[in-house]
Amino acid sequence: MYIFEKEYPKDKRFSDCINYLKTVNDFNNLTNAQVLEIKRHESAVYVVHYATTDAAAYAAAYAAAYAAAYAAGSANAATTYATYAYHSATISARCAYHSATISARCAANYATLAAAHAALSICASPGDAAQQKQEALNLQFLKQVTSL
Amino acid sequence: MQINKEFLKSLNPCADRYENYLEHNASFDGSISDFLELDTISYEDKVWVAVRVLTSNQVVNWSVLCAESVVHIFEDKHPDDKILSNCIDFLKTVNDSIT
Repeated sequence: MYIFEKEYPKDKRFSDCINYLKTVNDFNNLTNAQVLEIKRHESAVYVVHYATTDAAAYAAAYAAAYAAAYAAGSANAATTYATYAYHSATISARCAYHSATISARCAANYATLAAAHAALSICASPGDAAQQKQEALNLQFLKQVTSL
Repeated sequence: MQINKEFLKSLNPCADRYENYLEHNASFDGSISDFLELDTISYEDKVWVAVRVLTSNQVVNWSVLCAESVVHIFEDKHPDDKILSNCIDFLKTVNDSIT
């Protein structure tokens, strides 16, 4: 965290997020209010994440945001992975918003993550059948895009 | 683009995955669509290869389709939170500009 705050000494969103997570005693039994509060911190940290160009600070914010994502979804794996899909897709959209070549690569990478996490959200659902069904569906989607 | 053992080797796959490919498909030489039909290649390996040969637009299109197919899981839990759907919609609108 000091890496980030060395660069941005007045920005306490990152430490606020971490400090709130430290106050939660049981991540397996979060109240709705706690989930909402964690999500609020998570969103704030992601704003930092998006706005940061320094690589080390970016990584630090990323780590904090994922810590919050884990916490928010810890009671339900499917929700966790769906949350990841959301974040990956969001980052992808953010990258896509900028049209530089490197951003296109970034967008593709995160979009891939989004797809992987989306698939994992099904994997986290009960039963191998659901996982296999989703994998088959994802392959159908792959064939669909390769044929365009 | 043709998928064959020489091309796959150039992607630097894990040794065990490449050996699996050679064991079952050493003589294969086909398109990515043909590759996706191979029964002896795992889902993970197909995806691994696909994201390395598709264009950025294709990968984004694919991820959007996958994410759309499971977004209901998120929205069943958070029915008032449309941020994921909105994000997917946004991705769809910008995808044409990120080639």
